[in-house]
Amino acid sequence: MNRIGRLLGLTLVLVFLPSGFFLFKLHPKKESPHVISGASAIMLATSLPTPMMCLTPENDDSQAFEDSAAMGGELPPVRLVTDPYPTFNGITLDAASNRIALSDENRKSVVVYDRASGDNSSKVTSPIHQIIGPDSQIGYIAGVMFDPAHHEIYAVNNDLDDRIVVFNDDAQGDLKPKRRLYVPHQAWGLSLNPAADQFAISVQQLSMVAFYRREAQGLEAPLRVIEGPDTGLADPHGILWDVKHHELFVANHGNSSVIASYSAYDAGVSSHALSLGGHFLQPSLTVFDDSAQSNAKPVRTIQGKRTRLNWPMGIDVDTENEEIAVADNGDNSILIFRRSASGDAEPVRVIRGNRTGIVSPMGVAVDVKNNEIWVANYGDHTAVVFARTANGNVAPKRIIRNAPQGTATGGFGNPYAVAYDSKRDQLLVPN
Amino acid sequence: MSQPRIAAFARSANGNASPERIIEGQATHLSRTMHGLAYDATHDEVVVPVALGAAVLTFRGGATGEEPPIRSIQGPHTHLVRPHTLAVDEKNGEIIVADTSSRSLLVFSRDADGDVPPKRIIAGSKTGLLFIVGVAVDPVHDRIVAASASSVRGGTTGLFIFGRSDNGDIAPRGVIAGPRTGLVRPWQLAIDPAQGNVFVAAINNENHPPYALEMPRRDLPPDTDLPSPWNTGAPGFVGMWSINDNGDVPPRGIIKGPGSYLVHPAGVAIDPQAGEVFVTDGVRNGLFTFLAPKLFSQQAKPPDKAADKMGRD
Repeated sequence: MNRIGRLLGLTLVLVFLPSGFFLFKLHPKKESPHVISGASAIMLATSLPTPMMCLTPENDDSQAFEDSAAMGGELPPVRLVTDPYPTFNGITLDAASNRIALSDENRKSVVVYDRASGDNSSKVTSPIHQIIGPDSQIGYIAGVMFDPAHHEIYAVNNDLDDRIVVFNDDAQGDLKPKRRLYVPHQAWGLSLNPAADQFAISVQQLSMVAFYRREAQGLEAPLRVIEGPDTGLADPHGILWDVKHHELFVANHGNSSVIASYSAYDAGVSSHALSLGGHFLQPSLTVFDDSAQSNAKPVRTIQGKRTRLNWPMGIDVDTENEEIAVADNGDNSILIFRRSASGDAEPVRVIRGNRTGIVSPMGVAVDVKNNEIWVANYGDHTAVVFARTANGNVAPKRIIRNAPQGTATGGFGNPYAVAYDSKRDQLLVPN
Repeated sequence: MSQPRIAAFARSANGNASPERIIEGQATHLSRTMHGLAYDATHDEVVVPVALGAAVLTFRGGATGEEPPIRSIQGPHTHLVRPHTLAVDEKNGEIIVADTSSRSLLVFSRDADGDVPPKRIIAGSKTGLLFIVGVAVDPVHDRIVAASASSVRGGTTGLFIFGRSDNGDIAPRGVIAGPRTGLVRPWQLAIDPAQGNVFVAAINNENHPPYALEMPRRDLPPDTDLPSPWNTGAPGFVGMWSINDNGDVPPRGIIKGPGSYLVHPAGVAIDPQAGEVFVTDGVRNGLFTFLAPKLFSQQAKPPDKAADKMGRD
């Protein structure tokens, strides 16, 4: 156990909020008593999923560092912008058990709701349970997936914590995953094929799809990958394994380049990568035969101006009604295509407009059993539910809220930089 | 992270606030891994790297929504592979790009557009540069500072200081690294040219990637238990060094500790006039502002003797 791990012998504190519950470990003696204006105690508590650590220097050199600074020191922030509520990202449905699970990138959790929950009020919706806390190893997660047959739930960390964590589907609070599989950096979506007992993931920076044994764990290597210039994969996000038709659907943002050395562990430089340069391709849905590997060509590609694809994120395939649903993040819409669509195809339906409540959608799930379609919003603290055949600027049937209506949404996603715009007196923060 | 946007918050924003504007959508060509960006006040422009598209984009300063960039540097002649961060030299009209994949600092004209070669490239074994995740330029003292991390045997993690017009495989004029610096993993940099000080977001979350590109790393045992990068042993801090510092020297100024609420700060920017330091933190997933006027005062100016020690220019 490392030094910080030893310091985490802390008191578990349940902070009950109207939105349900959030589990945090707080360090009773190390937190600062400083009061930060504009941020209430509850906001701060709920925005601090990891306790502050104050470490004892291990040697004289680090003690010199600790004692060195003549200026500054332990300053409290005069302002702190942070969102204390979950921000939904991925979504998965278990129709048999009537549950819907959403990944929460902001507070780093998985939140599970009853499928029938939500309404049209401004009130916060209570979840059934939530997996959250340092032991869960949930970080900046994106894709989330139920495995109803094995009563498990998967979550893939998209940033830094390069791992998929698997829990029993009734897991709650801060607990260790029952399995953990390390995966390439920037894995985003995942989809299970129960018949093959495998699952597939998308990997952004490698423009790759990787296939694993369902029960793979640790450093187990992928069984095969789809990767290369002929694949059309470019910054892939959503992925869906259509077991019925033996096809694999992948949503691509279109950013294309070949990575060479990446981590601090490798000194090499690839002249091949240097010679290629980058490209901005049009966004696309690429469809592969599900036995594809290596530099395989897609069997179909939906791509072009008429498709309206704009930062396509999560996808789902409705094999009964032969349709594909796409969370079109850049256009605040849900696009529905024919499953067999190809080329510059127009969507057959588009849910979009100010009545829909769709704001920067990340995830989409089709509930064939109950004839509904679910949308996970990143730009608002909501998930919205429509009739499966909804079209146009229509209001949702129900809304799941993880914060009171009208709550601001900061939208931070592991912010690693900041710049000061002196003309507008604004701070620019990229995700 | 999932949505590769740039959000603009009011400087006075506090608590749970929404951005005043967001640059987002397909036409922007933004991708994730924007580990640095620059606001060019002289020309009122925002410049940002696109790691997954191997590009550098320039937007209008007031860009909002799905607004396309006004210039794009991209293509095989650019030498861009995986640009993570950049700095703008408003005085000399240049963009300095740090590329983690080509292990290089690439210098372009500020108005470069298209598939254009860099004016200068600082790269090679003599530079000591490896995983470059921070860069800043000081046009007053004619220096470029790069934050580079190495887990390669014999490599150095720290701040590498070059002459502004250096070119090729050249040794740095100074390297700030070692246990007394406290730097485990430095990230974004900001420079106060008036005082000649470099501000460093020391994220310090030791990162042990399990994969080497598409396959598991062979140097790790199959049953390896890698620590989470959010919980690896040392909280980060914001440190300040003189542009003339060299060697294993502690920071001259610092923001750290439980009272700062910082865990792993990655981004840093400054407003010397207001005496404010702006910081982003990946664990907190938020934006901090610290009031630290002393760090921008004459008191923060390094003594002349320190400057004399450089003696290289």
